[in-house]
Amino acid sequence: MAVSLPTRLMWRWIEADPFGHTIYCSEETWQRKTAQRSDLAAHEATVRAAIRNPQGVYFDPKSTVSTRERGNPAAVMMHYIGVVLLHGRFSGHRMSVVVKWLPEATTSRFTGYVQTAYATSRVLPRLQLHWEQSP
Amino acid sequence: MSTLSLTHSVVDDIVADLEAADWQYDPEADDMDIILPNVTNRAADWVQVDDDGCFVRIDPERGEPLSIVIIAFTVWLAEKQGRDLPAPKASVDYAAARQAIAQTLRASEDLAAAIG
Repeated sequence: MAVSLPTRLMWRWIEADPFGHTIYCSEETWQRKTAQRSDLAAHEATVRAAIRNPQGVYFDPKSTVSTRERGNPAAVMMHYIGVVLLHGRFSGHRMSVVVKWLPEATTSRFTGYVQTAYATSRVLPRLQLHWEQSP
Repeated sequence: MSTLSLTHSVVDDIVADLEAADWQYDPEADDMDIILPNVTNRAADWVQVDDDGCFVRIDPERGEPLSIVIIAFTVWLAEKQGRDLPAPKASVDYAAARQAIAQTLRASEDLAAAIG
């Protein structure tokens, strides 16, 4: 069976993370999340910056196990957490973007898919630091 | 009305509204948005009410709670029930979720500070 490659048409945007992984955000995901959380709509650039230039990238071990049991056996769930925002509605918060990593078939690399985004005042304790920005 | 009783009143109102709320579960992301009844969606402030991924969105002008957001919902609910991980492929247990949300909101100092 032929595997259909992602086409740009279905993606709202594509970013590269600090590891060189390609991270896709679908139009459907963005529209659904901003319909539920209308405050995110004005912060699309902040969401994208959290992926492109995160302060920290965290592994979510429990969500990874749960996601694998729900039918994604190779998925790895990561939270990309941006800088502390100094102005506006989310002042004092960090934009956090949950990304599902899936291994590419022919390489050892991962491709990422945005699952959701949230504004957090503190990192969830269950998350494990995977990478952080050098001071 | 004291700050403490105001907080209890707002939390009690949210809890009372949970059954009539619009529970929007995204199984792909394991994300839950609970839109409270009779509110129009608008930009809101986010209050992190626990360390497990539960947030309340509040209209900053009117102090009105608009929705509850829970990241990795099945993981969150399992943690509230004292389980390490969610049961595989379990359907959403709404009664247990309502109980866990009520306990979380009532225990949240962050929520009390935001609405007190």
